[in-house]
Amino acid sequence: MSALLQLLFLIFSVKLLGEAAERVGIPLVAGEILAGVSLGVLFLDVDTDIITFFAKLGSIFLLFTAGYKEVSLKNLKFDSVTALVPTLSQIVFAFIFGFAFGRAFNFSFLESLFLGVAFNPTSITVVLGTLIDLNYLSSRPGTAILSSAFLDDIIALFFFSIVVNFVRYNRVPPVMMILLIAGKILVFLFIMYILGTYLFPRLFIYAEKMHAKEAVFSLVVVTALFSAYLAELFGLHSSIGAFTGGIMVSEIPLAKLPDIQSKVDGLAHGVLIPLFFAFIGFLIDPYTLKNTGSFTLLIIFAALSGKLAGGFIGSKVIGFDFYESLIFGTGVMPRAGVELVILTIGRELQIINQETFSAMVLMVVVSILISPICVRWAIQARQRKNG
Amino acid sequence: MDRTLSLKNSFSGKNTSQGNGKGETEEFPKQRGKQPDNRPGFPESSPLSKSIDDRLGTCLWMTIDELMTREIVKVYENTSIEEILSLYGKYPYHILPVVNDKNELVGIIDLDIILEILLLCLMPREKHTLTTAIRSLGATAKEIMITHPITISLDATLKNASDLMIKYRLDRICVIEDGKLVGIISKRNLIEEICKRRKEKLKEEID
Repeated sequence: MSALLQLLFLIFSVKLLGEAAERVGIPLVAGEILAGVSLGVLFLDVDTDIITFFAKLGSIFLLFTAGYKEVSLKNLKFDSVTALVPTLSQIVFAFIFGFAFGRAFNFSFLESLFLGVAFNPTSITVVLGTLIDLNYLSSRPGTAILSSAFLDDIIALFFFSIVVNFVRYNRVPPVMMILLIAGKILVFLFIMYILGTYLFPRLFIYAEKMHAKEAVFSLVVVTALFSAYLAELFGLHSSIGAFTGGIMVSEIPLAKLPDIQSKVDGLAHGVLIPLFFAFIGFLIDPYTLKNTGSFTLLIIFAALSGKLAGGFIGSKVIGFDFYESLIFGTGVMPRAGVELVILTIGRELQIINQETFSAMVLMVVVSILISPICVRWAIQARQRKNG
Repeated sequence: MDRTLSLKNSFSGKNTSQGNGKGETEEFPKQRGKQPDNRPGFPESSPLSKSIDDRLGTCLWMTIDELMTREIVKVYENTSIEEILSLYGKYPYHILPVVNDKNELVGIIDLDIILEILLLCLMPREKHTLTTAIRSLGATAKEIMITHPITISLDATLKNASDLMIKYRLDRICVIEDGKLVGIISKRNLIEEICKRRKEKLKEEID
């Protein structure tokens, strides 16, 4: 009974606080995370099992919809190699900053490795609004940010799935094992490719002919869960599987009917993903944050400056002017969905401790708060300079 | 069978409510020649005899070949956005199929996409996604089209088409034969065909 009440409270408060955040000009995610914090404050015995389960579904669907709706491989094109330089540069810098930060604080090698990977994913949706408002999307840094955003998540997820495997051995395994892990990932991707090319398109055609209600929609959900499960069989994480599954069905016409898409959206963005964000808020421990103030501040600074420095230097190299480089650097700072999924998994597998987790979640919130402001400032400064 | 019957009912309902047929060929002006211009209204309470039901029943098994609009406006992969906009200004169509050099259907462009591009800054925040952003930067049909259009084959039946349309709220579907675009079938095509048959049948009975 209380679990029902808690779910009801979460979904309701997530939407309410999300809206409130949006109204005062803060990104939605910040409000949604806050809703989770309030759950921990208001309820004494939270039914963690049920909330955790829904949050797991949420993380699966978060990455599934990312693959299903956003990452069109056909869109993944680079007009020139130039866009690649700043992208790679910010990825490398963010990784080095994360790794070095871990080492400086005497973290284990694995934990530092994880931090390096966790410093990486970018979520540019909050910056998109700013770029669109100021009509800067088609500018050089604008397009570079767009192409960067694609690669970031894919690369981060790829390295992350390797690091997760390291954890199983509790140390960095010998070269043979690394090759084995890479092999497993390749086999998984290959199987998904074969299924996506030959089996699933046919299944969708059958499902379309079925008289059972909503057969096609169910099949999309089944695909998400199946790919998540298959990934776990291969020792990868379920949400990474779901991401691949999403990409796999994203070019099947029946799976991408507008009607079906809106139903998947309703399930994912209406219920499950908000629950996931709220769960993150619920996991934060405000008291540890208070005790580790300077550590938290430093990790936020390191995570943000890694992206900024990498982005800035990378774009300077390919000939962006000062402000353009600044726009790119601040534009790739924000994190959200993928970052939070990686953090939750790291916490679940006990790669990172509670303090690091809470600090990193706070970093996510700070990054989505300040990044749009910085981008706006940089763009306006450039416009002033150019008259 | 259930579904067939209910379909028939909805068709006959629409029919009487649009008795005077105002604006019914607006959407596919090129078809006007083929359709009889003068359509008198049906008697408000014309009892549907058994034979009409049969007639409409056979209609359900007609193939798309006999129903679809063949003369369609299509664009090529490298058609520019400006041209596409002017096509939308010129014709009242909702979708533009995109074909490659071999006339193979590679995508479609619909009004939603055009609206998203034109009104990007007015779009609600939830529409600020990577896909819309990349689309808004596109310069040619290929860069803005939906790359996975739903299609129907030339020898599918009216029932196949109406099933798809009603189940997934589609208004128009591109018709392909061996991957090549041959036409578009719309809800209006289906309704017009059924209306035509009903009228013929009624005339026969009066005679």
